[in-house]
Amino acid sequence: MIMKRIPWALCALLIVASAPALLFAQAQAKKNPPFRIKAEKATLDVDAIPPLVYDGNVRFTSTLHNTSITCRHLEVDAVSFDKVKHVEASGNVVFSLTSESKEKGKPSYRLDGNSEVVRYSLATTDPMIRLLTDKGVRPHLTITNLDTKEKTDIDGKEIEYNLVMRKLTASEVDMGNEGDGQ
Amino acid sequence: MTGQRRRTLSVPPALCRAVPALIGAAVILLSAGCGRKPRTVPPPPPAPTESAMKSGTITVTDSRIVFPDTGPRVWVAEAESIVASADPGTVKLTTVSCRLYRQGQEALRVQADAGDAVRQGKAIRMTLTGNVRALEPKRGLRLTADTFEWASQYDRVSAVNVQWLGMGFTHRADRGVFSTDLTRATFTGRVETRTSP
Repeated sequence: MIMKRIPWALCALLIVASAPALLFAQAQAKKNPPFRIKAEKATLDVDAIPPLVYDGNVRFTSTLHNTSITCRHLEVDAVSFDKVKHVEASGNVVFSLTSESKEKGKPSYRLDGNSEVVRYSLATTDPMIRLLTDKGVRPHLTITNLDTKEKTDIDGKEIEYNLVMRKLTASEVDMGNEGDGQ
Repeated sequence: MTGQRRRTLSVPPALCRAVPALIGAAVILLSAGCGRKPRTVPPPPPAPTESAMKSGTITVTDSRIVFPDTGPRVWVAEAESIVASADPGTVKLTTVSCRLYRQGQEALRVQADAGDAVRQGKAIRMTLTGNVRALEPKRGLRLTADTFEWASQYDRVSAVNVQWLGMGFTHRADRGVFSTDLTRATFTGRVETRTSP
């Protein structure tokens, strides 16, 4: 009788023992959302700010806000290398990402844009994207409401969008609405 | 009968009585010995390989090299075999494990299948190939590569088909140039960075 119970007891012990490891892995994943950067060249200096600099055909992707950024130069700043604090992309930057709705738990807006300089703050409490004019090239941003498919185009000298608060701030703006309001 | 005298041994009766007891004791002792594990024979001491060869100022003692002989350490290597080359100051290493130093402080531990080391004045130039693995002991930075070249005088490591792991990131590239302690690096050719799982 006891011999029959031993395998079940071992299985139960294994499950109990692995639970903290799974919770830890989940916590780590939240703390450090997965991202991937591809480039032709990268420079690393663990004591420098920023510690990571990429050049040539740079492509940054992350599951955080479904982010995709392509550019010529990318600087990645990190807090103790545990968590990416912000990235700064420059040189023909093209990007797309989504803004999630807390109530719905799924992306509610999609942002597409291009700019010479993009500063993207990934701090979990206040994620923000900021587009800047450089070398006379003004940034462009398109915000698409994923429910209604309504599109808003913005050209400005400087455009800033908070991904959680969904707050748009822009200066010297040209705006157009191309929504079909389905 | 041949008339030869037959010699007879007289056994004391006390001994006759003790014989069964002695046999019993012997059986017990033998059976106790059977249960024991056979005693492991200690391996013979390693035969001194290229013992105490002198090649310039590189001293090879058994399978360990310390460079330089005196003053702050630059390089310490242990290997399954160390063969001094015909070129002075050059050694060939197989299944090598070594420690690299910066200003006398340990900067990196490296292991590889094979390697060459060349003394260049007060410096060492080392090339490792095959299954290269390196560990920076202070921050736990790790490196794997197919080939690894280190020049102590330039504080520089260059590696091919490289993977750098540390502080939550994994970097892969076709080539990499590093400081000896791996804290600074330039990656080129198909560079990819990921968050470590």
